Amino acid sequence: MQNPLNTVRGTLTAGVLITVVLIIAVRIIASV
Amino acid sequence: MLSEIYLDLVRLAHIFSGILWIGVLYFYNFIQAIALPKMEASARPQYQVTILPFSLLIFRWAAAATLFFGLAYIVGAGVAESGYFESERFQTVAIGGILGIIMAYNVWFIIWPNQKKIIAAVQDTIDNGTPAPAEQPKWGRTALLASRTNTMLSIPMLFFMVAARHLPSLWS
Repeated sequence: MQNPLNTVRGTLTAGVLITVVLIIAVRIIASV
Repeated sequence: MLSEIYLDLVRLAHIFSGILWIGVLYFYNFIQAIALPKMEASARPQYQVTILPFSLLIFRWAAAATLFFGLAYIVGAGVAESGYFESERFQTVAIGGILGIIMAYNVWFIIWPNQKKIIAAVQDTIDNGTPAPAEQPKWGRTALLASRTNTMLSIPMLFFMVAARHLPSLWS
């Protein structure tokens, strides 16, 4: 079985990446 | 003044129920998911018919309350402030709100129905010795993936909820 801590790390990393993408998207939309 | 008191109280209720909801979500994903498999297999069904149903009760109603008070806040702010729905504050909080609505949908229409079936099956095994149904792992997997998705979405959701008030330069 996969180490559950790796899953937690993956979940958090994905969450942070989604956040960063959305922030950049908003900033780009705001600048045009 | 009355509308301000209304917004204060609704905001407080939204924050409290939101922390309760996401607190239980983080408990499932950061504590239960890691620690429960370590529990002796014979003890696990007891956990699944005592702590799990009660935590899910708090979890899904906290989710419903958070959504309700969040919408009640937006409606109140829309009535109290002209141009609220055109404001950047609203645009920012709406991004968080959309993520929150997706999460509440996952709780009520994916996580809870699947967990309900699992709890009933485990209870049936305890009471009548009925073997676990073949679909049970599938129910667990579906609920787990929705729960994990919600944990991911909670991060941008919280950012945009807080940014609406605390990061006014986001759109500038």
